Parts: sequence; structure tokens; C-alpha cells
Amino acid sequence: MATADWQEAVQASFLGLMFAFMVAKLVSLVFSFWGKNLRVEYVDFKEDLKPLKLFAIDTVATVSEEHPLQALTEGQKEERIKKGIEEEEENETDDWEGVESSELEEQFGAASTYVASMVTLPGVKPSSEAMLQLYAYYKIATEGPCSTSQPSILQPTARAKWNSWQKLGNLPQEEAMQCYIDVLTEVAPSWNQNFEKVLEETEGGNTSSKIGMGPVFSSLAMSEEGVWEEGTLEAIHACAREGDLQGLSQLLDLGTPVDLKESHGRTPLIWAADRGQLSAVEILLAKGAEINAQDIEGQTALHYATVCEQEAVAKYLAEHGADAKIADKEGTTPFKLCPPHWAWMQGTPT
Amino acid sequence: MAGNNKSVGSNPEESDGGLMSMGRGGGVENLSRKAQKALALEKRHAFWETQPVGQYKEGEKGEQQVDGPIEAPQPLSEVRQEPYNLPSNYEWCTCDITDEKVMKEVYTLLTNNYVEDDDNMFRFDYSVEFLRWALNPPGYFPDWHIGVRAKGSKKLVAFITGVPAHIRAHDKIVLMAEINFLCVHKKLRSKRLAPVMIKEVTRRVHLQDIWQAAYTAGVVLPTPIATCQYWHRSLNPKKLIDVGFSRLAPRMTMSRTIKLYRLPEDPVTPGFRAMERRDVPEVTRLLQGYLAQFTVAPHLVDDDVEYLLLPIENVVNSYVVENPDSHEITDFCSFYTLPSTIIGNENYSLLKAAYSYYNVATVTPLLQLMNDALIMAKSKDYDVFNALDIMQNESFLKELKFGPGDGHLHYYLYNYRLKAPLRPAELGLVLL
Repeated sequence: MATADWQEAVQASFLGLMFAFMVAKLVSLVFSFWGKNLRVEYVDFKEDLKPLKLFAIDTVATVSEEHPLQALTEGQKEERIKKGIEEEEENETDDWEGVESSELEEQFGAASTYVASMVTLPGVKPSSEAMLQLYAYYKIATEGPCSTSQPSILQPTARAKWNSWQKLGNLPQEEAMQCYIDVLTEVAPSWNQNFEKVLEETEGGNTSSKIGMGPVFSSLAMSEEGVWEEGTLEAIHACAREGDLQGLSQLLDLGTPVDLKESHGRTPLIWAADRGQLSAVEILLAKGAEINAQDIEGQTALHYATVCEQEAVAKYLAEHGADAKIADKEGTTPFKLCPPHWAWMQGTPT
Repeated sequence: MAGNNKSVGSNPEESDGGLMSMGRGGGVENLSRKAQKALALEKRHAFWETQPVGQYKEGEKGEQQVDGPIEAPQPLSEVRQEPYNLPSNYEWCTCDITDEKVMKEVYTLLTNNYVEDDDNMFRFDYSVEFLRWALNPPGYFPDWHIGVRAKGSKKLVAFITGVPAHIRAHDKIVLMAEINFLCVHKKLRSKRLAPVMIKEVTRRVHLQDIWQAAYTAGVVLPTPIATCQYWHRSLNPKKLIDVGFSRLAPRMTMSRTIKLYRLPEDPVTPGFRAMERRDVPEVTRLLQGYLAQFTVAPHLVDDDVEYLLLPIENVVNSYVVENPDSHEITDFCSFYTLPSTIIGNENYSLLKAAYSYYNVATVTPLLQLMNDALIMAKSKDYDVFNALDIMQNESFLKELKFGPGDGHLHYYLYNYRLKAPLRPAELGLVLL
């Protein structure tokens, strides 16, 4: 037993000596490289990140050449296909090989640009741990798995970077891009916001039409409405207006009068004629609607169909006995309102 | 716009920053002022902050603000001689717009990729004739028509232009570049070509010893000299409603709407006729007199008027009122033609819009003159007549049944500061 104890003691002290030696070695190493290391680290990151800047505008294309579609999610693919249908020049897709980039690649490019700018700005540098992670994902995303040999222990920074790159093994490039973006989002949650706004500032996002510089497309901000249009509109008028045939039939079956007038004296037939709802006109007439009913201005459904140039409806009304000679309160007849190209109505005897 | 020595080293691609694109809620009157306040606190413009343009923060420092250039001109020898670097797959080209083939390429790029509305229902469709007219004014510089091509396919993927114009700000007339038609192919939006294109056009402008520029934008950048609003007068309301340009309130009938916008077939002002070449000197005189009242306005001479305002079918329409007795030209009105592609509508593919250009009324009431302009536009089958609330336009907009638009247009000057932003009514400049 004593021998065993003694042996153990020797072993322990030997290990202790070894450990002490290594600690001393480490300390001396650290001291001898202290100044250098700091500078090396700084320069290293800067140098590695320089290509990042170019990458954002440049290398994205190269990456997409290698993986033209893999990086796309199903949704994006669909979207691209849809776009393709819209765009007449889609037959020239060949031109876009290697030029076009996927959304992920675009985001990644933007993220790396952002990281590059973080390094040049004082005060906003993320922790070196985060930087190592970003470095590793960046290398995978742009160069693929690590295939260089491990730097010597005398280059701790390079070695740390190599280690972190090597550790990721055969991580797919798209995944690496996503991880890169995720790490950055953790470090600087607002980066993407800023990126999108920079985009908008200069050229508009993909969906935004408001390109930074140039004219602007504007359309009417408010609806067309008459000041005296504040009266009542029953459900049956709305159904006729919208061509809601099912709703129309139901209301009629429930006993709503087919010629119910709203506050302006318009019947459902008039509303259907105004919007060119031919099927609704057919149903209403089949249910016995008064074809020549007039609103408070004396206008019939045929007046409305004529003013609104709803030719099919006007023709149908005329064929079913609508009178083109009824004058409204201003003395205007549908016949008078008839557009010049309606030959069939022009021939109506006066 | 960029390209002075200070900004050569700073790459807008690499800095973070932000832009708040203005919501539509704000009142038009104080929009730019409000925007400045809102933005000054935290929002940054990575690119525009490096440029000699009015900056939001200037006001806060209480610095003395004076009208005039922000930076003095450099010696021409100090202007960068070689073009800015493009991403490696692309190369610069100069678009010779007298060349039909190039013109067609430019047209194709713009018609498929230029400005759309917020809902992507409409996209500007500047015609070939219009582009040729807009880009070749007197004294134009061919190399200010800048394209970017893909190296492999030679496909035109981006475009930007400048044209020279004498613009007066207060009492100083400055030769400026009007920058327009910045367009990057939809598939390349993420590559951020725009900043380098702006820098390149700026460089080429500087090489002509010109140091100021005017431009517009639909978004708020540092810093608008004026914020204006579009107004729209329906000429073909049924089509406008069908394509979603305007909407019908639930209780409004199409019939009433159509009747509301009806116009007579012929202009009502005696002596109202199309402008002819012989009218140029008198139109110039009218315009110079009229535009003098605005703080910022173009300074037009006979050559400009002849080029910009003589009618060209489907590009620009101009009319004068000639007194039947004295044959004096007393009034003038004009509009230009800018159609838009209607995206994804079964029945219609093109929206034909007239845009109010320059109008001068000295004898005929402006309201009546503009009504005649509407009548002419209607008779020529335009769907809508658009006008900004600049100059004296506000006096006729409501009465002639224009409705407010959802688009705001911000005006900017590059390397020229105005002491205070302008009200739309103080602005006399129309950019195409």
C-alpha cells in the first residue's frame, strides 16, 4: 500500500510539475506576443473583412452561379415563377445566370456589408466570440468547408479562426448564410432594418415602387361620392349592384319587393344596369321587375345602362321592352344618350 | 449625387443608416418640416449624409444658413477622371439616344422596371418619343445618358440621366443638371447600384464644370426644398374605376360619376389654338413674366421654349390664346403625356395620363384656361389629367374637380441650400 501511495505521490507531483511548466510556458507565450497579438487580431479581422465589402456587391453573383435555385424556399420559387409569367422578357433568362441572386443571398450580402461597416466604426465592435462565429459562417458561405492546414500554435488568432471554421465541417452554404444572419441579428438586432432602409433610400425595395429618386405614381386618394348620396340602400340594391345572384334570389324569395326603391328612387334593376350586371338584370326581369321604372330624376334602367355604356345590358333591356324614348326630368332620353358606336340603338325608330 | 473629393473615399455601400420613408398621414403643408424633425433624431441616410445636400441636423446647430452653394466648385483637374467602379459583372455605357436600337433598349428597361405605385397596379411607361424629347434639350451632354450593362450578355440593366437646365433660385440663375430616369432592373435591386450610379452621373456633371442639380423623389431624403401633392382630374371615370385608379363609394352610381366629369367637346375660350413655331417669342415672354414670381423656377429662353413646348404628338401639347382682334398671345397652357402600364387588368393595358406642365394666364381666367386644357385632353382620349399643387395650380384644382392623390413629390437641390423650405405655391419648376 505504501508503495502504491508513494507511486501516486510521484505521479501527482510529476503532473503538477508538468502543469506548472505549461502554465509558465503559456504565460511567457502570452507575454511575448501580447502587443503583437492585439495588433495581429485587429489587422487580421480587418483584412478578412475587406473582401466582405466587395462581396456584398460582387461575390453574391458568384455564389448564385454555384447554387442558382437551391437557396430558394418553395415560396420564393413560386414567386419567381409568377414573376416570370408577368415579365415579357423571361425568355432571356439565360442572361440572368450568375447575375440574379436569391433573397437569402441578398440578405447575406447585406449582412456582411453591415459587419464590415461595424468593424470600421469605433465603439460598436461585437465580442470576439461573435466575430469568430461570423468569420466561420462567412468562410463556409463563401468558400465552403475548411481545407487549409491548421495554423501553428504561435498564431493564436489565426488558429482560433481556423478552429471555428473547421468545426463547422460540411455545413451547407445556404445554412451558413442563414446562421451568419442569425448571429448578426443577435449581436445587432436592428441591422436588417437599417439595411432595408438604405435600400429604400436609394432604389426602393423589391416591392416598394418609391424609388429613391425620380417621379412618383399617384392615384386618387378618395372615392367618388356625391354629397347627396347619404340616403338608404337596401340589401337588395347592394346585391344587384355587385351581381350577387344568390343573395338577390334569396332576398326575392324572402319577399323583398322586386321594385323596392331606395332613397333616390332607384330600383334594384337600375343598380344592376348602372354596373352592367347582366345576370342580375335577367333575374330581376324574370321576377317581374318594372323595366321602365324611373328614379326621382326620371331616369330608367336604360338611361343608366346607356350613360355607363353597358352595351350588353342596354341591348337586353331594349329587347325586353325598355322604352328608349322616355325622357328624364331634364328632357333627356336614352336614345339621345346613345353612344355613336351603338348601331343597333341608333336604328331605333324615334 | 456624389463625386466631390470628400466623398470619393466613402462608399455608401458600407455604412449602415436608415431612411424613414414618410407615411402618407402627415399634412402636406408641413410635411418636409415634420419629416426633418422626426428624422433628425435617429434616422440616418448613409448615402445622402456624405453628399453636399441640406442635412437635417443643420438647423439644430443654429448655424447661419444662407442661400447658395454648399460646397465651392473644385478645379476641374481635381475631378475624378475615371468612372467609378461597378460590381465586376457590370460595365458602364453611354446610351446614344439618337440610336433607335439603344432607345428601344432604354425603353424596354424603363417600361418593365421603372416607378410603380404602392400596390404595384401601375408602372410608368414613358414612350420612346418622350424619352428622346426629354433627354435631348438644347445644350445636352451625350455622356450624361448613362447605362450599365451586364458584361456577358450586354443587356442594359440600369440607367440614369442628367440634362442641363438654367434654374433660378431667388435671384440667382444657376446652370444645373436635372437628374432623372434612375432605374435599376428589378432583379438587381439588392446590388445597390443606385448610389454608384448617382456618383457617376455627378462625376460626369462635374466634368462639365457644373456643380448643382435638381431632382425629385417620392421619398423623403435630406432635405426637400418643397413637398408637393399630386391631384387628379378624371376624364374617363369608368375606365379609371375599372382599373383601380379611383374607387366608387358604395352609394355612388357610375352614371352620376360619369355625368360629373363630362366636358364640352370644344374649348370655350375664343382664339384658343395649338401653339405654333411663330408663337415662340411671345410664349417665352409670357413664361418669363409668369415664372418670375416663384422662388425656384426654370429660366427659359426662346431655344428652350421652342424645344420644350412646341407640340409633339403624344409627348407634349401646348396651346395659346390669340386675341382675335389684336392677334396678341395672351395666355398659354401645356401638358405632357406620360402613360402607365396597367398591370394585370383584363380589359385595359394602358392608362393615358396628361400631366400639367407650364400654364400662364394673363387675360383669360386661369380656371377657364385649364378647363380648356381638360377639354383638349379629353378630346384626345386621355383618361386622367394630373397636376401638382405647385405654382398657382391650387386656385383651380378643386373647382375643376381634381381630387387629391396619394402621391407626394419631394423636390431637391444638390449642392445648393435654401434658407427655408418652400410652399408648393412658391415653386415654379416641373421635372418630367
